[in-house]
Amino acid sequence: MNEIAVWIAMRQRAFHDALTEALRSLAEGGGPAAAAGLIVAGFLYGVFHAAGPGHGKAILSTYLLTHRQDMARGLSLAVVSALCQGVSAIVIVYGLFVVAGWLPRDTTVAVTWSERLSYALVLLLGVYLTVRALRALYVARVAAASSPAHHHGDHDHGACGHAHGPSAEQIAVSGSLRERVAVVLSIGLRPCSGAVLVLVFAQISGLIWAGIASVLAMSLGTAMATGALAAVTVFTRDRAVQLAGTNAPRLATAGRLVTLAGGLLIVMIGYSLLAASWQPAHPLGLG
Amino acid sequence: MRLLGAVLLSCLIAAPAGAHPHAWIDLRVRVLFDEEGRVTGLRESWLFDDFYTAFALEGLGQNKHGRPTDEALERIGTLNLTNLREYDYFTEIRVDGEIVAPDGTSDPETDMVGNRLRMTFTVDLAEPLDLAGRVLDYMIFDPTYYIEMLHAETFDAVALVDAPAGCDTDVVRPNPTFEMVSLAAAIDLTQTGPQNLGALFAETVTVTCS
Repeated sequence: MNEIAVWIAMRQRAFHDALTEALRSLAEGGGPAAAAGLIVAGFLYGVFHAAGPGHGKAILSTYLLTHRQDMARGLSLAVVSALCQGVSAIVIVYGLFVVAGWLPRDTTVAVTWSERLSYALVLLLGVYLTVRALRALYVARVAAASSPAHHHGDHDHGACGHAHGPSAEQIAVSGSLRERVAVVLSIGLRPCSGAVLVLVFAQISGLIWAGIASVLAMSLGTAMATGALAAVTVFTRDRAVQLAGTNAPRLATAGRLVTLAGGLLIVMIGYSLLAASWQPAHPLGLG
Repeated sequence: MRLLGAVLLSCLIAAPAGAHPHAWIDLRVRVLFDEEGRVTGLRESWLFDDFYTAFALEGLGQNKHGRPTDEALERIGTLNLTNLREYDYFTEIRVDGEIVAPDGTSDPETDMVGNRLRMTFTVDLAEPLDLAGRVLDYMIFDPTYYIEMLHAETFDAVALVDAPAGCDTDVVRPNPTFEMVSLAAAIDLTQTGPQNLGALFAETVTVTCS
């Protein structure tokens, strides 16, 4: 596994060099071949760049492990988040350059603030998920307490005729659109610094459109890598739930506790990212 | 199930390398000796990658050929060295394992090599070091690992200048263990912690005189 880590690190520089090379050859009139090379290099850079974690993957996998989503939703969350990251890089960098006339070095300030916004959203998302999980636990407890005739254990649940609070299956419904948008934004508002560098370089070389195309290709590559992670996570979760057996009430409680733990973990991730974003600036003026 | 766990784990572990770095510097270092055969400092040359170069120099002034002016180069060089002072110029020098803090820098030069910015400067030691019976080693790294700094892949990336006979150098490549890589992954994820991520991926150069 160690070899894999080192190998990925080395590939990353190779793709980075390939991107630089492709941009330069395009700037020197390389034509369609250079443009294609640029897009391929961007795509591969995205795949390999995303093979590592970063805050997006931490949030996505925590969320997907602790909040049941089906495969299609898990995948779409990963893909939309990755594309959102690319778009936010483009909007921030070109918005500031072209519209506001900033210098590349100054964009790091804006990138830092968009990062903080993204981290604050992570924190809020975590708080929201935690509160909701607590409320579900409370409701379930009240429901259980208000029906003392029910002894969970040997009687036939099929005959109950009413639900004991949300079941594990019903928890699946929990992901509201608002919640999924929050997940996407908390990941996607933070532009990837690799994308920012490519855009800056493209802009300086007078190749704005090439920069945009390359960053979109990069996002697509990232989307594939995080999509794979999402798929593995959803699959793992489903298998774990299956293996946990069929004791419905217990499973429901366990499910709520897991959901609560996930919410708390996302709070912690958001808090530590936010706190760390006030670290002193990099001495060489990078983000 | 176990297989899936392993896959997931390996995704997370491959992390630090994937997440960082974002910029690269090729190093060339000259270990400087005085007449008495003692080490006085390191003459370091940092060759930045194209992106960093473009990023740092844009808007600082160009001549009519689109090349950065001498003033622009001097400005960025001075700025970087000033900012790096607090970080001991990313240079960690040890004698027999004890850290020797650099005293400052001298003879800074900033120029372009093709499309790449190059900063050259001497990291001075407070007192000349006699290496008789002692081992000097140094690591040059960005603690955050935002920038990867490795010696250039040329035969003369490290050289001794005016060294007495019998002195030699050796470049030890980084070999992060499984535990170190896992630690790095954890640090990278939260971006807090001891801030020594870069050290795990840095080369160590030893200088010995027999």
